[in-house]
Amino acid sequence: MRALLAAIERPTSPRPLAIARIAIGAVAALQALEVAPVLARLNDPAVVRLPYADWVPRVSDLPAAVVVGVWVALAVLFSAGAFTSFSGLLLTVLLGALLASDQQLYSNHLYLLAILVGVLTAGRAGTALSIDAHRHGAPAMVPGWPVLLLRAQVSIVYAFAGLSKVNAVYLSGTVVASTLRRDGALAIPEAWRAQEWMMALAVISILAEIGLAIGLWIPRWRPSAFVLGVALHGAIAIWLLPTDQLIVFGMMMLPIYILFVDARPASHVVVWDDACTFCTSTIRWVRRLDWLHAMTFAPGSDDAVLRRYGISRHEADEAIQLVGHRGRSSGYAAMAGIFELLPLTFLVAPIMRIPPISSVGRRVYARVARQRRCRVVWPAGAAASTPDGPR
Amino acid sequence: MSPKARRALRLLGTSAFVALQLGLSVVGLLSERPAPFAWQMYSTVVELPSVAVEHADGSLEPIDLAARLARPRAEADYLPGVIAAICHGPDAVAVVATLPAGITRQECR
Repeated sequence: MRALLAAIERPTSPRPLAIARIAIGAVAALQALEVAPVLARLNDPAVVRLPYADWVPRVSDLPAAVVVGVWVALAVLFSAGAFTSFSGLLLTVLLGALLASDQQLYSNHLYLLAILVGVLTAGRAGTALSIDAHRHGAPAMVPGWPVLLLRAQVSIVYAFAGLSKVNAVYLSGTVVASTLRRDGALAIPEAWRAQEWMMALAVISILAEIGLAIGLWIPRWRPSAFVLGVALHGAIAIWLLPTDQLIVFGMMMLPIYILFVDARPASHVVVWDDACTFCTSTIRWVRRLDWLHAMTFAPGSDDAVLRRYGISRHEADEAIQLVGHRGRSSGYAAMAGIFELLPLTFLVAPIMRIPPISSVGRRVYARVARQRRCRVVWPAGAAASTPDGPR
Repeated sequence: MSPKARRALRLLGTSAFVALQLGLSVVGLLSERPAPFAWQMYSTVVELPSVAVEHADGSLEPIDLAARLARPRAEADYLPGVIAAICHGPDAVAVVATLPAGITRQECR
């Protein structure tokens, strides 16, 4: 109970929530386009309505263009963080009303979307990286409960998606076989659809989903879980049908992984060779992409910085250094660590640590480090960018 | 609101959310696949039943169920709605549906 209370109350940066909000808002707009044909069909008098109860107001009876138009407008406002509490609340109500309107509008994706938008709205995900933050300023920290809820939600989805597949029909491979792509360049040839293979795929998919539900919570397994998640969502979107719905599902789940990244503000220090123009421009890009503000950057030419982090002059000259709560890494390992902290790359960055990619990466890093060009400060005192050859 | 009350509210809200999500999913797990609100994506294959309308002269006319639905969902209990809609039409005496569990005949009133 004490651990739960601590997790709920733990101050957390609003930035991971904001990044999730931006992505989920964009996905909400896409989802509207996916649901639009169903809404249009429900406007057809020849189509059967399946309300849950007669007293439930039916949003699906409104013209589809109006519903979709409002939906997309709210999703765009939510994603941009404009009047986030208002747009998020209205979007959640609209999605809930659609789900309650007709059984044919139910989908796990729409249900999940309603929950994600609702929790992000209640969790003040509009307080950073948003138009609202630009107008009113952003708080340094927000309570941790929305992060905990969204993490739990992702785990519950994977866990029960996996557990519900433990049944004779699914394990027989029938479901996999019937949903595999049959046409186009990515179609699975008929010869590969043997039942043994389908059964194996069924078991692998169950293990992957249950593995994700658990692995995302264990720091040691988390990087592997990120890669597994990308592989799972990528594979089902490529090889299973319907593609558009599976792409939207992946786009809904993967951004929430950012909430599992241990990237508290200024929790890592990057010490880089500030006498090197290539390094300076690389660090400039890293700074721009460090949307979580997880890193601070210290010049390697500053002896006080080196003393503070226990880095020798030779080490600082040789390779970039990343100092975090798990210790210090340098060179290629430090670059992998940096990419694991960037929202655009954290999902695939763990691949950099897997052999043989890691050994190739280390060689490439060493080669680039040897050949990088340095800025020389001339005695006259004027700084000039001048190549001085390999070092 | 005092900080203590706010903390209690957050604890209550978080626990209720997780309990509801887990509860719905566990109930769904114990129900027939696929259950709604229980994250049972791709857990089984469900075919649409074949449905026919029985006319006053005793003849059976097959109904294209896919054409009558906005989006067939495996979780949806669509037969009552479909039967009501078919019975609303002229000259319909009964609806005959072939389901995995067997054939059902529902008289129109």
